Amino acid sequence: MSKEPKLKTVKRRSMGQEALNRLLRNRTAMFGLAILLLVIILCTLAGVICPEGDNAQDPTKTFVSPGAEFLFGTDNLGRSLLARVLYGGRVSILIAFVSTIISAILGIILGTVAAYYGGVVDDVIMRIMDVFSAIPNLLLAIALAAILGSGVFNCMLAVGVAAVPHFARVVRAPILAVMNEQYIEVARSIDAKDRRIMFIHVLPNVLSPIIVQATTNLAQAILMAASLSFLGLGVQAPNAEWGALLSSSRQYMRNYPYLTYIPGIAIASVVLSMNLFGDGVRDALDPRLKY
Amino acid sequence: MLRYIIKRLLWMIPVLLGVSILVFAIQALAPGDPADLALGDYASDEAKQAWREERGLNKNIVVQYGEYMYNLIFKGDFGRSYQTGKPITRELIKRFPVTLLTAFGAATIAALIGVPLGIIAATHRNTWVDSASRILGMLGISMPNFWFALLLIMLFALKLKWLPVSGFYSPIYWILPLMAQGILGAASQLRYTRSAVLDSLQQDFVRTARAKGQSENKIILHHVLRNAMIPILTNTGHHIAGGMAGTVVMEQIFSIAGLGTLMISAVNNRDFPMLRGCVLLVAFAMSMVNLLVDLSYTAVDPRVKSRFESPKRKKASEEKGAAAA
Amino acid sequence: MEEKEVLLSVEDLSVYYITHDLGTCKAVNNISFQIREGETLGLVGETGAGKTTIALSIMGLLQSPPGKVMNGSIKYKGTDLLKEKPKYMRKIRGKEISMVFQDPMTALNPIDRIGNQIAEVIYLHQGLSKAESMEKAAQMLEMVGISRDRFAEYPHQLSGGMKQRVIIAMALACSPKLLLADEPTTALDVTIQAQVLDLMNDLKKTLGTAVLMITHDLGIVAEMCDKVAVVYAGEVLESGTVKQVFKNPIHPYTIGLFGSLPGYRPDSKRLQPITGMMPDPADLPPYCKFEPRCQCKCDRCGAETPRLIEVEEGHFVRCFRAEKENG
Repeated sequence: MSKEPKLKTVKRRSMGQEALNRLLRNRTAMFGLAILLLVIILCTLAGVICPEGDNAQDPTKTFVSPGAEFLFGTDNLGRSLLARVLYGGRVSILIAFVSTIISAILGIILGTVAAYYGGVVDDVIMRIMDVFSAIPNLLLAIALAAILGSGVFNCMLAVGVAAVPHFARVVRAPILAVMNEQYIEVARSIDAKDRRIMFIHVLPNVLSPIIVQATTNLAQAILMAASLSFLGLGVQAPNAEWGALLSSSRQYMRNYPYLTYIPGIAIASVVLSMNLFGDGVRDALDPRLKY
Repeated sequence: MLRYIIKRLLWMIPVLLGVSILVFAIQALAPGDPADLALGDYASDEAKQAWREERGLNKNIVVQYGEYMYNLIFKGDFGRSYQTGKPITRELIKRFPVTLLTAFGAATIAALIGVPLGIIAATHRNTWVDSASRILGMLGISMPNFWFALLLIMLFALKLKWLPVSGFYSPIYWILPLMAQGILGAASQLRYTRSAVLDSLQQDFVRTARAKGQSENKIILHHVLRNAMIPILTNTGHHIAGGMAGTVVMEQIFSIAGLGTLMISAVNNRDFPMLRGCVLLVAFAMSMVNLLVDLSYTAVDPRVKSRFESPKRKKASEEKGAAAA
Repeated sequence: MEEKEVLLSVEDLSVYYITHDLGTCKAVNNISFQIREGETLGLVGETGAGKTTIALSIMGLLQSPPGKVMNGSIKYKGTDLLKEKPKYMRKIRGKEISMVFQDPMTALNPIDRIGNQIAEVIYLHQGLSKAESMEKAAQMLEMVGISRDRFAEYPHQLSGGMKQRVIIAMALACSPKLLLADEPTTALDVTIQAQVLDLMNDLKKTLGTAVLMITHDLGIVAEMCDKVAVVYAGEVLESGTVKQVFKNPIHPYTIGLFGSLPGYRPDSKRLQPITGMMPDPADLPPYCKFEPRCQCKCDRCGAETPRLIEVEEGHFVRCFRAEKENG
């Protein structure tokens, strides 16, 4: 007699699943991801596409205009710009990802510790973050580059460290909010270990702001790394990097503009794709903000 | 109000002290001996030793820091450049206005273009105007500023020959660097304004105003924009502050004798006192800009004002809010 | 009691929210009701039953997209508001029909003085000068029991109850014929609730305003309303005078609502909650919407949707049980 009423409630999907579905349905975000993946694949295959490497000079073929022989033309030393752009892309994109990972890891640790322990620990960490934020990111990266010197890894480190305060804040705020929730009290009351509480209860709640911050940070990182190299403080010649390519193109701007156009288009399209994808991720994870 | 300003100024002290320690640490952490760079590789050890002695570099780092801060605070003296031997303070005073002009000028252009476009985009949401603004905004924030500057040079200076390529001597020289930085800044202002206005449009009080029978234009002017001004102001502040970083690049491209070029050459020449001075000055200027932005909130947002004036009342209203929520 | 003129007549109204993400959400389905001049109708139902959507549709403030009126009419003094231009609606809103919102914390503009916010509606509709509007606004403040000294204060300086009073003052400033009150006390403390309800009751009587009282609280209905309509999943399940419905509830859902009300039936020892949840409005069953939760369903309930049956004069029920008894 007592038949359970069969209820058709809202389909239960996990939050992550739903966010992923939203992201997959977002056409502009998928377009961005497609471009990004395409560029990453092309850069990864740089060795196959341009087996001669990024530094193969040919003094007889300097400043060849883009065309059949050299798709993107050649530079002052007769190096194929296509090769320079592809190999440079490897460096630029690698810097973007590695530096973002560096800032994310440091930011998560600092933000979590600050929020979780509160009090003096929080004050000290956040005041240090304030100090770092009192200097504009690029200037901070420049100052760090002054300590570290130039080079790919140092560039990653400088760009990565400069973005740490941002991550720390993004992580700290939601943790503070979560820490006031009752289920944390409950977990504490049953004597759960600090680390357990942190990993099982707290971190999942701050995952989405971290993901959003990380995706938007990618674009910033690539721009900043390119700026550093452009200023001569990041990756340096003869290594190819997009910012460095632009920097060296400056003296030939008047007569060989393609040397300026092409690396710029490369940076802009990758940053654009990262931004499009990042916007999509933000909209998917936080539909409240979707405009 | 005055109390708040004083409090904020006092708050700046620990942050700026922190920055000074940070920039001082740069020298301690950086590899290599500045004497090598200043005197060349072939200088004798005695000469290097004397050079270091003269600049107090043989003293304990804490003592060095103490002396540096003492001179800075009580004499306004940033020390002397390793590279030129000239007083840094004088150099900074000469160069800072240029950077300030560029940063403020670009931020003004960004706000003048970006804010109105953002408002139009938000109020015409989902129309072609909105789509066009969104595309422009997206392109703008994705374009490296130095590349955009190079493109502008190629078009307006090299091809059309309307404007000079580089230098910073008279207003006609200012146009390209200000435009390069300002137009890209406008893109981000546009995006920010659009979402701030849309956010404000979603608020319940807009519905209340509509329920009163108020016209949509008045609602936007009177209710939506005034509320959206708060985040927009913040963003403008960020722009001025961030602009000081952007100008480093612009100065380098347009050969402008500002703080940026000074700083880059300081890094390249391991001229640490100079680098220190530049960074400290920028950090100080940024803090001041942030303070000004926060103060301008009070003109727009009464909530902020009462927060300064009567902390008790704020607490009481918060408790009530919490109880009701 | 003689029946006054019909002021508002909602007929066969359906409102859907159409989204790409979640599909079509059928918030309001073929709802009809009437409000006569000076009368108070209670619209009772759970959260998500479509009550607020109804009020917003009347005001012409339904956000579109995603909201869309699919069919039906909303006649105010004989004119179909759904067919009128936005300009006409602006004249009606605030002057003829006004609305009190659920959350006083967010309904006021945080950076505008409360007096100005009241004066705004007066200035718009009454042809007064700015100064006169201000004076009238100060009078309205006093009318809702707030000293005129607080005219220049900002919303954050007021308590929740006072904010709701300001909103009521705003809504009644132009003596509208019809007030839509959307859960006006839900966000308030219990003690404040009573004060605000008393205030509304007094003002309603003095000004002769008809009220559509949207609530999930049957106590408020008993206290404030002349008539009541029970709404479930966007449909009216039972309607009639408060006396009829409270004395003789027929629909199992209405009976269930009383069963889950503490102290209503002194004989029953425990509260009897209605088990289960309201169906997903994006996926409504093509039969009686209450069937899944109903204690006394039959085979027919799972096959078709019952009609509204008049069981006594003015008392309507949408249930096959009532249909059986009344032919």
